[in-house]
Order: sequence, then structure tokens, then C-alpha cells
Amino acid sequence: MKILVLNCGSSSLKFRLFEMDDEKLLAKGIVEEIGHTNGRFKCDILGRHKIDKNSSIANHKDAIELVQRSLCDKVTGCIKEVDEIDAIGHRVVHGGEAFTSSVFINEAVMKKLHECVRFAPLHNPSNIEGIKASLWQFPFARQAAVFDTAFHQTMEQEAFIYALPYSWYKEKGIRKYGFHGTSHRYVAEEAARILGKPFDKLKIITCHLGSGASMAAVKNGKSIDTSMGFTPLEGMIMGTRCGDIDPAIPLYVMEADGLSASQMDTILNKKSGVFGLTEGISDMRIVEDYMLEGKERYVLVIKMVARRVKKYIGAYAAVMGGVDAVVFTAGVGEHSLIVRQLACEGLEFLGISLDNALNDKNEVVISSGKTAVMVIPTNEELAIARETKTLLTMESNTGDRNKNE
Amino acid sequence: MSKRVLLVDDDKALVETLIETLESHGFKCEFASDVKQGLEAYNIIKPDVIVTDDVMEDISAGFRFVKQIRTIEKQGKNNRTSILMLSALKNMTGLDFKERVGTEYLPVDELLEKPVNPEKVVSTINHLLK
Repeated sequence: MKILVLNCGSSSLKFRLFEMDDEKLLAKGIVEEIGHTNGRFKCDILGRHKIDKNSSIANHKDAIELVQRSLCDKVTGCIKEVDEIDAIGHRVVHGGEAFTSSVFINEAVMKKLHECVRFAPLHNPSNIEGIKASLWQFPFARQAAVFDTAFHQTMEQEAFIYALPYSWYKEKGIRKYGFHGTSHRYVAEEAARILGKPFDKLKIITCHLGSGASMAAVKNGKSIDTSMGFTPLEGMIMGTRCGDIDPAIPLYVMEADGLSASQMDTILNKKSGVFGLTEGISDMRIVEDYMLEGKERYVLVIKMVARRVKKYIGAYAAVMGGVDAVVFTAGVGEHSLIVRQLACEGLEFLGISLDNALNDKNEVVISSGKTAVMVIPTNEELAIARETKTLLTMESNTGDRNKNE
Repeated sequence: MSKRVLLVDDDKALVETLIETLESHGFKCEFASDVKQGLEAYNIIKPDVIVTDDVMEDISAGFRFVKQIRTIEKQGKNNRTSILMLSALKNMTGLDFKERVGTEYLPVDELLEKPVNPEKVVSTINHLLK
């Protein structure tokens, strides 16, 4: 069973092709600068051929055509015909309240995806374009939507409703949705597998700390709380996003400086966080280097980032009534020894005791206390492929059952 | 002898209208509402013409259906059947699959965009049967 995973952004398209019988990666690549004359296409047909070329790529349809031609190339490709791909799993950023799990795409789903554009105007339109373009190039493949928000749809109302006029929730859909769901679920499941314990019996705190960052409280296999909210702006201090702040601050500055909503949106999403604090650097590796040189501002930034993580660990341990494992993942989570160390410092009362030697070696389990602290690389593409495979398997089982009836 | 038409579409109202019109023109009709039923019906009745929707249980259902028909034919199990696709995809996606008719991506003989005029369906079927 071959499954192609597509992650379409406004000007980029990332893809991975898996043979799902053994979860082997067959090909991966990226199309960048879609819609521009300086487009770039990189493709690695594993063990066979690599492509890295520049060309003008007008739209997502052209981008997927490039992908399809490379995969199906008679000499260097890894599949012979387009119909060898059984299904395509699309990463869709926002499924609103309409989608609590992954789905095969039909007419009703397409309609709902369009309705969800209002929640993610920068992301969902590109996801929809990717679905259309892949239907054009791979018409025989099943098309599945895997949502960033779906895993968090198990949150209770008390976790997802904001203390704002209730009509905003009912009429405008304003509530916490949460993001990075595919990643949180993947690493939480991996943690359970590595610990050799049932996923549905564990209390896990997942820390997806990348340029975008979020945390989740995963109790008995379900997300019961997460740090990102109505948009990805809430929660952690991120590369360029502010995370949690007093909501009165933007209003104060907008009035004082005469800024528009759009200008403030740009400041909060693209000019704040680590970038805002350092006045120009969003890459945590550089910030860490400066911190190690003892530069005061950078020491402060690292402390702030880690403190925010620590606060959420405490909060999530409280709402879950304990914690069995804390999992770090994504760029900062997987590589920043100092953020992990500072975030876990002083949490012995929760059974969290980091082993500095293990942390320095970037081991999978980096703790010595009763609560496991783990470093697990995320693999959202594989997680999307697994979700898509599950849909195909469920359908096949249903078909068999019908047959028996 | 009446020509046999297999209608595969999940739009019950449209199917009923098409059956009524086709039967008034002397065709014998069978229908199915998804790919699985469509393949079962195809194997039983061996139709002269297939009229199929593209979007049914999912957006690629109709494409997979015609691909499977052509695969069965290639294996020499059945003679080639004319296929007319009724497409809702242009409205839904903006994609004009008429460009793909007769290619490896869409191995059908003709495509009409929904909403369809039943008489147009009849004249297209008659044309395909010539």
C-alpha cells in the first residue's frame, strides 16, 4: 500500500511517499516559491535519484505535476503508474468543530473545508488547492484530510471555551481549537510504545517546541488541554509569536500608536516572541550560542522560553492529576539541552528529575525520576500516512463486514 | 433487443429521472449508488453503456470505478464498454476534467457536466452506441 503525504503551504509543497506495508520512505521533497518565477524543486527518490532544479512554478497544480512526473519517471522514478498510489493524505491545518478525526474527502467534506477557511485564512486555502491539484494528477487515489486540530477535539468545554461573551462561541466559533495535533498524538503514542505501557492508561505532557510551539495534556490517549488556541498565537513563546500575553496590551498600543488590526496582527505573529525579544533573531540555536557567551538579553530569552514550558508542565500535571511522561519534540525540543534542563528544573515534586548526562547525550529517556522525560523526534508525515492507512483499513473492514451480511 | 445502461450515481433523484427518460427511449436500466455496487452490477449485467457520476462516496470514486472497469477489460474478461461520466467536479473544484477525457487519467468516452439535461444524456448514449 503506497501513500503519498502532502503538506501544502501558500508558496510551498512538501511531500513524502511511503510504502506502508513496512512504513518505508520511498521519496521525499519540496517545491518552494510556488507562484514565483524563482521556484525550486527538490526531490529525493531514495537510493535512486536526486533532483534539485529551479523553474517557474505557477501554482499548486504545476507543483504536483512536477512531483508526479518525478515519482513516475520511467528511468529514475519509484512507481510505474499513477494508480499505484492508493491514497493521498493531506495535512489540513484547521478542521474547526466539524472534524474530530481524519476523513476521506467527499462533496460534503469539501464544503466544510471551505467553511473552515475563515479560521485559517492563510493555511486552509493552500490545503484545498493541494487537494484539487492532487485529484487532477492522481485521480485514482483516495484523498484523505488529516487535521492539525482534530486530536484536540476531545477537550471538554471548560478547557476550550474562553471567558468572553458566550455568543462569540455560538455565533462565531471562537474557542480554543489547538494545533500540531498530529505531532502531539504521534509522539505521545511513541512514548507509550517506548515505555511499554498502554497509551490509554497514561498521563503524558507533550512539548512540541519548534519555531511554532505548543504543548498538550494527553490523558488516557486523549488530548484534554493544549496551549495554542483559536489561532496558533496563544501559549508558548515562539520564534516570532508572542504566546500568552495580557490581551489589553495590543489594544493599548493600537490606540497609543494608531496601529490597525492588520498591523498589530503582524507584530504579534511575526515580530514578537524570540524575534521581538532579541530584536531580530528567531533562530533559537543562535540565541543559545549568544547565551553561552553570557550575553544578558539572550540568557533572559532562554529563561523566559523555558519558564513558559515549565508553567505549562505544572498546569497540565494539575489538570491531569499527575504525569507519567513529559515528551520533548520538534527543533528546540529535540535539540536544546538547556531549554529542557531549565524547563524541568525544580519539578522533582512531580517526579521529574532530569539526568544531565542523558540529557547531554540527547538520549530517548533523559530522566532518572518516576516520571519519564523523553526526547522523541516528531514525524508528522508518517503520522499522516498512518492515519490515511487506518481510514483505508477501516473501509476495507467495513466492506468485508457488508459482504458477510 | 434493448440496450442495457448501468447508471452509477448517489443522487437518487437524478437516477430516477434518468431511468424514466432512458426507459422511455427503449433502454433497459440498472443502477448502483457507489463503486462497490457499480462493479457488482457491471459484472452481472454486462452493460452496453455505463453512465457514472465522478463524486460519490468520495471525490475520486468515479475515477476509480472507470479505472477498474478498464482494468477488467484489459485482462480480457469483458468487451470494451462505452462510459459516459456525469461530472460535478468543475463546479466543486474549478477543474475541467473534460480536458482529460480519453487520456490515461480519465479513460471514459464522454463527459457531461452536471446539472445534466436527461435528453442530452440520451443523445450522447445514442452517439456512443453508433
